[in-house]
Amino acid sequence: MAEEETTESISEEEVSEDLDPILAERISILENILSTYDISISSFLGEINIHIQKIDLLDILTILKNSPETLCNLFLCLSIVDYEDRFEAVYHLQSTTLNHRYVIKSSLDKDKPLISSCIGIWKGCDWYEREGHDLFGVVFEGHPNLSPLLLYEEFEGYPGRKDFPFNDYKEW
Amino acid sequence: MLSSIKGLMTTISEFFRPIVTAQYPEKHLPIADRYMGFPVLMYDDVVDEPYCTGCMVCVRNCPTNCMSAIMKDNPKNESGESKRRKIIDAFEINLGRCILCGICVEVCNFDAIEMSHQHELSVVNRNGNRANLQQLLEMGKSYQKETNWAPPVKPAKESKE
Amino acid sequence: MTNQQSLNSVDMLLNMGPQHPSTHGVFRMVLQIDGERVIDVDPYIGYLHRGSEKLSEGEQYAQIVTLFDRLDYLANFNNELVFCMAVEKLMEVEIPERAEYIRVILCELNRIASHFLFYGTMGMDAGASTPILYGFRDREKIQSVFESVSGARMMHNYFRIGGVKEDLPTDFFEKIYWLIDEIKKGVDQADSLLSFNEIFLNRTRNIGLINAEDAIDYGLTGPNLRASGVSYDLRKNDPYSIYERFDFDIPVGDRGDVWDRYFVRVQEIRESVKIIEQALKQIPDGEITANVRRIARPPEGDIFAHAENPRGDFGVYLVSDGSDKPYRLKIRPPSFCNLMALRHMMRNAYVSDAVMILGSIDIVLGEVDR
Repeated sequence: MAEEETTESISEEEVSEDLDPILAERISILENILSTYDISISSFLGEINIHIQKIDLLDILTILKNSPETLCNLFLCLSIVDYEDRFEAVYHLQSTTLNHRYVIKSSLDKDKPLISSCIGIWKGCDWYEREGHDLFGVVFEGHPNLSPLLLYEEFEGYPGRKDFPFNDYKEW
Repeated sequence: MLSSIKGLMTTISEFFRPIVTAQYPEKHLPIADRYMGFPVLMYDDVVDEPYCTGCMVCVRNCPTNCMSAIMKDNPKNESGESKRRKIIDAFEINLGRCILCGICVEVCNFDAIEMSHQHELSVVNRNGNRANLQQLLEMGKSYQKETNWAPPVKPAKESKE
Repeated sequence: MTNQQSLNSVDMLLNMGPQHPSTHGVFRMVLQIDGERVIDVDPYIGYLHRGSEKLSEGEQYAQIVTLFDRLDYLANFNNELVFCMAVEKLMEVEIPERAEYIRVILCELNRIASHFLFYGTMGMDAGASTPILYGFRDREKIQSVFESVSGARMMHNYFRIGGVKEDLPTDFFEKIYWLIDEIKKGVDQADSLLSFNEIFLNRTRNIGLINAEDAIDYGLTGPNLRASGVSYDLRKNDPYSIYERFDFDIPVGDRGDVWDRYFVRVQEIRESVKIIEQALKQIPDGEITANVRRIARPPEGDIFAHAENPRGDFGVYLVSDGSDKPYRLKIRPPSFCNLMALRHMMRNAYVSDAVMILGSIDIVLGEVDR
C-alpha cells in the first residue's frame, strides 16, 4: 500500500519539476555560465545535479565559487561513491548568501581513480580529500599531504569500497 | 571586579539550597515509566508459559545481533491449554552487546519482549552478561510485578509460521 | 652584548593527547612551539573511527537511526532528524504536523543541552571549575525530560522515518514549562558567573581569531561561523522541517575570537527557548507517524539533507538503490570541518590558550571520526 503511494507521488514530482520556475531559472543560469564545458544538468527532488568531466573540475568549481549568480562559497561535502564499475566524486557546494546548493558529480576510473585536488579553491576540502584517499584510494592530484586520516598508517586496503568485506564479529 | 563579585553572589546563593545529588549505590533516583533498560521476556501467568513463540523477528531486526532464539512445538497446545502452537525453547541475549534501542520491542508481534527498568550490569566473569531464557523470564517477572504490566488487550495473533 | 645566535630558541614538539582531558575525547595534536608561542599544530584524528558509513551499508534504514545517535553524542535528536529527513525526502513522505512539532521541540532542547555542556567545559578549559557543575546540572534536567519522552537519556532511537516512535507522555507539558523556567535561570546564571567575568574576558578576548572570509573558506559552520560575523543559520537561511514558522534571531559575533564563539552559544540558548515556547503554543493534536512501512525502501536516487546542529551544518548524503539498505551513506560532520580550522586559529597563540581555542570549537570526536 505504502509503495503505491510513493510511486504516485514520484510521478507528480516529475511533472512539477518541469514547472518549478526557480529551478528552471537556476538551470538556465548554469547553462549560461558553463556553456563552454561538456556538462549535463539534471534536477532531482529539487536538487540540481551537474555531471561534469573530471578534467574541467577545477575550472567549473572556480566559476561556481566566483560567479556572482552562483557564489558557492561554502564547500559543504565531498563524497566518493563506489558504483562497482566506476567511482563518483560528489561535491556539494552551498552559498551562504544566496542560499542554494549545487551538486557536482564526476566519474572516476575504477582502476586508477585520479582527480585534481581543489585545495587551492577551498581550504575546507583538505580532510575530505585525505579521507577519500584513505577509505577509497582516490588520488587527489595536487594535494600536499595525503597521509592517512581516519585509519592508521599500516592499514592495508580501502575499507570504503564495496569489495572490502565487513569484518565478521566473533564473540569470545 | 564587579563581575567577580556578581559571580561570587551566584555561587553563594547556590550554597544555601538543598542538596540535589543522590549518593548512588545507596540511593536511586526515580526513573521514567518509559525508561529503556535491558530487554526481558514476559511471562503469561494464565497459561503458565512465556509469551514468546520464538518467531525470530527480534533476532532478525536487532542492529547488533545480540540475541538468538530457538523454538519448539508447544506441548500445551496439543492438550488445548494454550493457543500457541510454537513456544520458545532457548533464548539468549548478550546484555553487554545490547544497545538498548528498543527495536526488538517494537517489532514483536506478541508483546513477548519488553524493555525493563533494569540498568545495572556488573558481572565478575567474562560471559556473565549473557542472559538465558530462565534469567530473562525472571527479570521479566520482576518487571511485571513492579509495573503491573498488563497483558496485551488483543489476544496474541496466530503465528504466521 | 649577547650573541644573536644564542638568543634563538629551538622549536619544541609538544604532544597533546590522545588521552588528555581537555581534548574532549580521543584527539591528538602535536604542537610545534617556540618558547611559549605555538608555531604550528598538527591534528591527528581517527582514534574513534568506527566506520559508521560502512556499517550503515549493511543495516536497514530503521536500524541506522541507532548509529546516528552515536555520531554526535551530545546532540542525538538532531542527528536522528537529519537522517530521517534524508530518507523522507527521498521517499517523499509527508510528516504529520504533530510529529514535526515534537521533533522541533526535542531538537531545540537538545541544542540547549549541548550548549550548556559547552558552557561548562569552556569554563573548565579556562580554569574555572564552578561552571561545569552548573552546566551539567541544567543539562541533567533536560536529559530527565528526554528520558521521560524517549526512554533513554542519550541514545534515544526515538525519531522514525515518517514521524516519531510514540506520542509525548501526558505529563510532558507540565514538565517542560518547569524546564523552560529552569533553563532561563540557568542562562542568567551562566551570564553572571562566566560571560562577563573580567578574568574570563581577559582570558578569551582576541585569541583564536578567525575572520569571516577564512571561516567560510575552511568550511566552518554553526556558532563558530556566526561568531565571525556571518549570519548563516540553516534554520533561517534554508528552513527545513517547520522552522520558517518561528520567530527568532540569529546571534552573531563580531571578532571571531574565543569569547564570541562562547557568547554566541549562550545567546543561542535563549533563542532556542523562544522557539520551544512558540512551538508549545502551536503544537496541534493528531497523528504522529506517516503511513510508512517499517522496512523502508526508498526509490533509487541520491539525496542530500542537512540541518543546523548545535555544532553546525550536519549533512547526510544518501544513495539508495531501491533496497532496504542504503547503497552509500556519507555523513558531513560539522566538527570535522570546524576542526580543520584549528591550525589557522592556533597559529601564534600561547600554549596556555591552545586548550581554550580547541575547547571553543566545541568538537565531538564521535562525529569527527565517525
